[in-house]
Amino acid sequence: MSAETHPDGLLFGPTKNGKRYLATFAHRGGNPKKSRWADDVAPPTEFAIFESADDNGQSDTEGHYWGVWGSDGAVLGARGERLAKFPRNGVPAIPWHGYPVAPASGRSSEIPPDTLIEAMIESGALSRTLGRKLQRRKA
Amino acid sequence: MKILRMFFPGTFEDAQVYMGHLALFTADRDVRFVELQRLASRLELRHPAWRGVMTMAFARNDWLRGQVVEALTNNRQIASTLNDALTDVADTELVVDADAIETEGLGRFTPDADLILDTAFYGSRLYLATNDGLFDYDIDWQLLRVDRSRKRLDARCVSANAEYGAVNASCESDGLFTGYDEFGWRGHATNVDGAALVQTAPKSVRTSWLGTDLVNYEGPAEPELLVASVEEVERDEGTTYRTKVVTHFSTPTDNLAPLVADLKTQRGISRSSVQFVWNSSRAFFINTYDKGFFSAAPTAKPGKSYNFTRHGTTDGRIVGVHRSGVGWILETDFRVYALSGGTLVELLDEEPLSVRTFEGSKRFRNLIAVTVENGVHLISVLRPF
Repeated sequence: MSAETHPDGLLFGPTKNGKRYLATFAHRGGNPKKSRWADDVAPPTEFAIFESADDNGQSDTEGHYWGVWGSDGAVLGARGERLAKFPRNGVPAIPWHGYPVAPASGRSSEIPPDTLIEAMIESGALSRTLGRKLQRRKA
Repeated sequence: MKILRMFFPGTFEDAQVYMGHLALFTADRDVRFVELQRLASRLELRHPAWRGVMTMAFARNDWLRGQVVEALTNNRQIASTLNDALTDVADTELVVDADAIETEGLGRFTPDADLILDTAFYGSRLYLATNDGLFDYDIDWQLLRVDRSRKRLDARCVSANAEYGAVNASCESDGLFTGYDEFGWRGHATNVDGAALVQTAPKSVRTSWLGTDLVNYEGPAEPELLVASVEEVERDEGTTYRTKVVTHFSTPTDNLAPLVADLKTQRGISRSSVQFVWNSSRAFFINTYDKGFFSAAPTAKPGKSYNFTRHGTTDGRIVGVHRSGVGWILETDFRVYALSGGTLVELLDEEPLSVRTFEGSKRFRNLIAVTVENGVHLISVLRPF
């Protein structure tokens, strides 16, 4: 999987749906205030998680995409996060980006809707166990 | 410790033990009850190695420390024989076939919500925290059927916690809601017909009792104390006994602020390194991202509010901590552990969907019910005789 260099990260894509993706330095320790991808989630893996979310239409009504690393939800964030958010990007010229989130934090911006989680469980993209834990704010 | 296991295959959302029954919450929103004493007797007949052990481990934990057993196990030969019997069955998980279980459904139980997020049995009543609000179900335990059901709140609730006559529903950014004297034990009967719950904190993901006070968690590591007003009342249920009823909570206080501040002062661990905080009725549990986990006990020593003890590290984030008769049970992302006498023992190497313990019960205080993707593990943790 080839990537282009970019001032803010590594640029991947496009996906089948024409989305470009930027694995940002900011979420790899460049900005200590931002959540950080786990060390074993290399930028190509980060893009693969986004690509899978895009392929499977894992978006909410606001246009945010949500992804997991394998249906059992391997840890993808440096603080144990198992879910990634790819915030809505309404400008096609700008690449998408994403970062680890934890619904357990209680922060509403890190919580996908129940209906999306149900759909991901139904499609096999997410185990029922992790899906329920996300809904119960235990992951 | 001796760890004995049973496994109930199936697709479940949760499992509880109450009124002598294992309550299995199924994926199709039913509740199936298994009477544990009857199950133990039946399984002992089928599995000779478990005879005598099964009932004590899974249906009568009170016998473990009864006077007869204690007197007999003062004889080391008897104790050794009992330990050998436990060891013989401890290595194998007994898979309970469907034909070995007699289950009974809960009559008239028709939950309206799509998602059950938490379950709590208290005062013969079942509380369900759901995506569509908080519900309660008064159960006739003789007939195993719902006598009355009510919707108590509209807000999405992720946790329900009942004790001292009160129920607390954690509804995230909608707040913490409390129903006081839910069963009319004060004699006022104010709530018996479904008085509204009142908001007691603006945000809540879970709660835990600290004596009769309540610790509300605004986030995984953000505790705040609600100080309770308590009334002691007499209840007459065949025999008369006195019980405490919470009648009011204060607004959230910052009384717990020294907890994390002291961790910084004493151990150099900053607030941002704290992943999870939980409390029992007397002590606190603090897990950090990279410095292991600690217990914290209040102290009256000058200059500090808490004494911290470091215990070790777990694999993955702490998701929940639960009181049991054998110590604290730690629920992590991918495993379940027991912390007993300062030692961490792995109980299950599988991702739990829910973990339940029953410390307050007489007969089941050593049991842990762990719901996983394809069934329920019922684990009995016994100290050697």
